Amino acid sequence: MTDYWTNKLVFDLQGPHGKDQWTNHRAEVIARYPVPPKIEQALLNDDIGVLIPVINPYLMRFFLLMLGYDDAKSIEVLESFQTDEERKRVNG
Amino acid sequence: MAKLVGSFAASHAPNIARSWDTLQDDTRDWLTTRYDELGKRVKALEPDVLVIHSNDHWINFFLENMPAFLIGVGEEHDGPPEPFMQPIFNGCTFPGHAGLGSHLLEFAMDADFDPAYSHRIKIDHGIGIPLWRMGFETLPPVVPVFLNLMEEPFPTPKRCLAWGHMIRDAIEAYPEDLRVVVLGTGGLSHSIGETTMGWIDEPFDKACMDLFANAPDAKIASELSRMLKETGNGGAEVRSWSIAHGAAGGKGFEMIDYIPMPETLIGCGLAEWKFAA
Repeated sequence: MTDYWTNKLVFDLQGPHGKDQWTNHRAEVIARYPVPPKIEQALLNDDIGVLIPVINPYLMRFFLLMLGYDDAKSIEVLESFQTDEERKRVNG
Repeated sequence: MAKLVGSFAASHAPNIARSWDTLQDDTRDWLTTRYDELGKRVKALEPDVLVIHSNDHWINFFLENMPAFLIGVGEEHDGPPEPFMQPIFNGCTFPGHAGLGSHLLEFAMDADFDPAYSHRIKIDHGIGIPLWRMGFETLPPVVPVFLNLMEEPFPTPKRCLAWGHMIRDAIEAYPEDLRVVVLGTGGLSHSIGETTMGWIDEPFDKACMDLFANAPDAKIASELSRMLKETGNGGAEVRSWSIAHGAAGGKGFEMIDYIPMPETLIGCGLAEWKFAA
């Protein structure tokens, strides 16, 4: 099960002012949610590797789009965290 | 009495709508001709109601409340709220069919399924994209059925097949003379927001098509359960195809077409189950 509050934060950013809130008021947004300090730091620093295990993948896709990543960039960023087993599975 | 006159499945990737104007010409042509064909086949059956199975995409539900199955029982439903769907549906509403929706709910409960229900639900891109591309001049009433494929645990493929059989029995027990088409949307393989994002698993897709064409329910259920552990997360949506398969009584599967489509991040497939109505 993914982390409730971290996902709640990302879920709520889907609203009409989400991108503006995240771009211009990130620390205040994060402060509204009781996320662990490690996650707070990862959110402040766009540390995707820390966030992958705790954010639902469909919300992660939205989160990356909101950060301004197109599909190619999202794939590149996520692929950099592939395990050997995942790489083998994808490449056959 | 109502009659199930057709069962279909089709993909519903967001990029079909989000990137429509910038897709490569051959991709857009492929999508146009194949969804036109799907629409032509559905319209030829002159449906009075469409019962459409799809998964929500964090539009209606969040972790506070995640129904495994939910039936839309309202007279009307809201259109897709996603920004990339706004130019297509522009805040319109969708006609529901409260009579059939309520009947499906009560029949399901009597058959020992326990779906949630909604008197007004948001129709997101999962249902909106196939309806858009099929090009109805007048959209028949829609009974939307959502299954949870966002956050595990998901309904098992076995349960989805059984749900499909139940839906057919329910439709054919409805006293009004209605021609009903079942549509399952989603799939085939894709990987979204995970480290394998962009992966289109063609062997998985081909194995699914082979199962629907040739295998009995028990084998479909066991093989899908095994295969879904090894493919991208979006492959979970093949459960909607399983429901269409179950509704068709497991007979008459025919692919309209399939292509791995990297621009939309999916193995894009459309299918009909042909059976004597």
